Amino acid sequence: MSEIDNKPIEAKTGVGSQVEGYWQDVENKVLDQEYLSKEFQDSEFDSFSIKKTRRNFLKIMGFSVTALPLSGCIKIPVRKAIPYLKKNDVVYPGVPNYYASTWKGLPIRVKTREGRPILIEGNSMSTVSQGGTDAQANAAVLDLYDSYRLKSPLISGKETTWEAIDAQVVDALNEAKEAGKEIYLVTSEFSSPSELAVIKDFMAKYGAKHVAYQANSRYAVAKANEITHKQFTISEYDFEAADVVVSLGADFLATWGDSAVNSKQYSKRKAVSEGAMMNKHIQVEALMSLTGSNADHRFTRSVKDQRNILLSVLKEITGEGEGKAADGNKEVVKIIASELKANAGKSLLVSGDSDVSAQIIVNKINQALNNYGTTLKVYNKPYEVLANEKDFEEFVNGMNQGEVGAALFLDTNPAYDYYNAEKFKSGLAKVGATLSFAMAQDETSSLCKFVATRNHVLESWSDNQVSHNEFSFTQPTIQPLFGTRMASESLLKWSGNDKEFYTYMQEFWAKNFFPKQSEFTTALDYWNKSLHDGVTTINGVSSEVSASGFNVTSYAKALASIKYSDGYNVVTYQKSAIMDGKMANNPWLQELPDPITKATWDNYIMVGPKDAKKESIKSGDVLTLKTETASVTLPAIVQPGVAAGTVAVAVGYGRSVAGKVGKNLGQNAFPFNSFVNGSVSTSSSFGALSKTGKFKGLAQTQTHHSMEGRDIVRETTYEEYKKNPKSGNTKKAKIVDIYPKHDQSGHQWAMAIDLNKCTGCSSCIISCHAENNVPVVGRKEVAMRRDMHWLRIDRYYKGDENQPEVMHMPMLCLHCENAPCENVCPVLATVHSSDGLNQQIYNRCVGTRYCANNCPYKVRRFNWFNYAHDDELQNMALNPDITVRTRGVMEKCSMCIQRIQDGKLKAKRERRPLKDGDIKTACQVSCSTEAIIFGDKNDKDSKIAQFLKDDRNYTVIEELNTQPRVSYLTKIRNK
Amino acid sequence: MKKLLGAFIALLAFGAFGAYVVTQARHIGFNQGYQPDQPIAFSHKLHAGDLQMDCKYCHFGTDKSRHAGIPPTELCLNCHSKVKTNSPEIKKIQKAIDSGENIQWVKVNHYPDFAYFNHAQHVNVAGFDCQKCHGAVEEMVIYHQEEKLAMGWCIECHRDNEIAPPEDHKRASGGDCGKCHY
Repeated sequence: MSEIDNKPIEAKTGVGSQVEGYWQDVENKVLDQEYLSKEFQDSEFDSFSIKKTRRNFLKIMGFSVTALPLSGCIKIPVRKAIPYLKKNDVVYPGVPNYYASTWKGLPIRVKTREGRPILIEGNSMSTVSQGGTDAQANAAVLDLYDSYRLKSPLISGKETTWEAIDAQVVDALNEAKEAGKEIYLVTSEFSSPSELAVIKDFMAKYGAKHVAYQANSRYAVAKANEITHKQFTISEYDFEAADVVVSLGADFLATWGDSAVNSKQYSKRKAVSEGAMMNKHIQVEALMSLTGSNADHRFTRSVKDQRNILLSVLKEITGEGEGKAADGNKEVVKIIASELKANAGKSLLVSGDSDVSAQIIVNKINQALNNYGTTLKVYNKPYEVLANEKDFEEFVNGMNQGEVGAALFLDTNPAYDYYNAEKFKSGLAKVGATLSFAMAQDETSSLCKFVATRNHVLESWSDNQVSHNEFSFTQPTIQPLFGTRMASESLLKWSGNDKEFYTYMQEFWAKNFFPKQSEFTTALDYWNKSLHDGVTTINGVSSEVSASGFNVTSYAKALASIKYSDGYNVVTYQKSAIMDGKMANNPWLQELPDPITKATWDNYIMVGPKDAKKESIKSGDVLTLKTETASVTLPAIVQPGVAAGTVAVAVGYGRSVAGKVGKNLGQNAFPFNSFVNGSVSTSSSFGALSKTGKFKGLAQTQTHHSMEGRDIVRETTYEEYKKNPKSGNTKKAKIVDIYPKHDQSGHQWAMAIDLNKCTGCSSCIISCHAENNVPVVGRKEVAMRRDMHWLRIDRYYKGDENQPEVMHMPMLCLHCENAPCENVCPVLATVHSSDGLNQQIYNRCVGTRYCANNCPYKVRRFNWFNYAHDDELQNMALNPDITVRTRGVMEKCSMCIQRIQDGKLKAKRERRPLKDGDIKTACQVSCSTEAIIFGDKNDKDSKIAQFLKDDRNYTVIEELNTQPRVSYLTKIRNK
Repeated sequence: MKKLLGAFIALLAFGAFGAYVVTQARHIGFNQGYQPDQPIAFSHKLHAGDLQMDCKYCHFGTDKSRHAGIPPTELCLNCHSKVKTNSPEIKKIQKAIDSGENIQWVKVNHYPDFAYFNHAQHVNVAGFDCQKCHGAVEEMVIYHQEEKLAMGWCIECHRDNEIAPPEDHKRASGGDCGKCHY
């Protein structure tokens, strides 16, 4: 099978007609008939087709005939039934338990079955996240069962005992202390009060220093706040309160800040059918980000232009600085300045710039507009530890000068993600004692003498300051699977404290937080209630601070004087699934299609359409991108909406020490970063592109996406919508119905997806994987269009390819009333249920794939192989209520039939009628923007009934008279 | 002629063979009457019959879970820490608890992974006696599978005994495939 390395069918451009302004990818923007005739590429079907010769036919027949009678002689296999030896009183086999916890500062709810965590959802009790989650949080459960994890502590790469490592580490630390050398503890960003206390104890004991480091930190934002507000912190943003949101390159719905929280707030202003007033979102960015794809106005501008715009807006609004808009930016500056001014006090400007000066100017503008206090607030947060790039720089220099006697790394991997990893490594070699708390061997831990293997989050205790007044708990939902230990417990031990961290934390809460509340009279009651809910509000810990007087002129000058070299501006960015690469060994995340490029398992060089034309680059051409400090050779993707002169490469790939899944995928783009003006810059390098002449097809889940003249996506503008809610949705197809009607009594399930709220973040795809045991198939299979995602998100482009509008449309089995798949199944394996679902019965399916052929929405998935987890340990993450499908079976979205069943049975057991909201599908729960509504359409008071009646409601390709049960609400742009 | 006869006999043999295969295949997976030996000579007759213990004392999952469950080994000791402690069979229980090596019972009732069944729904909601599906367990010295526990058998009951549906559940025991297979 070599099809994936072949060039795709090339379309001739220039002929054919555009479809209502929508198009697909740059090469095929205008489609011709020859291309259309090859809509279905055949690689999906031909990898192992047996040559149809007479001999082969007889061979197969002979085998089948002899195999059949043998199956009649099977004896009943002896199956063992092993009960619990001693059962605790909360676990009942077959009944799930839920525990509140926290994953990287995001309050979550963990579903466990028989003591195994199998699903992560958002904790709806949190006032901050309000039940929102993101793809990483949903996928974290699979990391727990990663057999690549270390099973014990290591000394010099050899497995050892905790007694041995404890003794040696304490000796090494004392040695370093006595020698008068520095001891450094390098951690990632965190906000745990108790862990911070443990670290302080440790620092006091050994005179150690604590540095926080994170490759994807927002250091420039924190540093700017330190200068303008005297607080080294990240502001708390409120995208819901803002009538105008202007973002200069900040991908706040995916990789900039807490995407779950931001998306939740953002979507509240998109809920027009629930009465919300839409706000306006203007995005200026150099590459196409998820956030930009959702903007009402999006302007493609290079980083240099963005800074020019920022300075000009500063001048317009405050009169400070020398900002003068460049010719191409005048219109953008005018729009931004007028919108910000018109909405002063309820607007918000954010910037993704990694330059501190730029962030100070952003603060100035927000201050001048009186936005502080409404759309963004700065608090002093005593427990927030944020990465400090300057301190880390000093630490690396200190290592290289031989000043560091011991270095401990907690949840950090600078040997991979530091921009100058070679310098870090050479420094590390000079450190007397090196230790990593890595969970699995990574680039840094493999260079360390000691590895004090830490637990997974789902095996750990911790606490978190989620916001200025909300705190959350991390509690273990399973005993440690291996011989690992919480890092906080290791640090406690080495500080000479034999207490368990759990006890330490409980005492910390009793001492520090219990007195701050009045509801509970005993510390234990307070602890139990807070732990049960997972979140608790504590006032009087953080207070709001206002800006101190600061002068912006010098910073404006500094920003204006940044020099830009010739050549392509290399911008490194994070893909919303893989982020900084810490979760690179997670197969769910690797196979999650990028919301924009739809590529899986790879990073690539994103080139804009103008440059692609200039250099005659096509998607898949392998290019070499070379700057002074780094070079990568990767396939190109011609990406609409990338600024001319900018090329973008995702970080998080090219892991050289990782498990089977994440190792050697793509190439490392961190070396393109550099330390400029006191912070690590992601856009400061310039380089040249050269073609290698090779071609590498990318594993994209969407390559042909023309809407073929059908109005699959319906949209309107906010102005039009206010005049007529039906605008953009007036077409009604002429339908001739020959089918008999299904009985519509009882429960009738239906789903509606609000395209105005959906941001395309793809968190739903991961939760669908987790809930429904959807397999991962790997890069090669995805390239052959055999991806198994039950739920995909189609992405369409419209308008100018340099500045396109983007549409995201979740597409899943639409559960048609007149389902075309049902008519063609020869064995009745796909049938209509009495409650309106289109059911796929795996044990009946013989795999003819007729149904997939006949599905107009292409949502059926075929098991070409037995895709059971390669990593057997990961089978522990399987949902025991769902069949694991075998080779040769068709599958597709079941509308979480197990959840429907569970909800109905629970209501029956409780002798009550089913309520709206009792049953929620997995995708619905994980959708931070609440774009997915599911329920019984016969329940007149239900939300779904209301959404089905909405003027914006429509079904896809309704002229086929399939009558889908999944309908959509039109997209509205406020432009 | 000979050739023709040969072909006819071959066809006949093939047909007979086929018929045999089909009749045999129909029994695959039906374990009615299965009565394996168990590691401990536990008598349901003694406990549920003579002593009239409630089934749900040991199989306590029945009310709340899809699984009735096999009682945790420790539960036996609720009585047997006092009763018949010298019996060699009871000593096996004590040994399992002391050593941590649990008793491996032989599973009798088995339905395949692609079928969903819920005990709580039948016992708690519908209020069925255990005997309805499991036979007169109180008379079984060695437990065996009384009924067929196969799809046709399930459907037969659901068809004949339409449960009075609650107000909002019109088809409480509807015949959708997806009721049990997903």
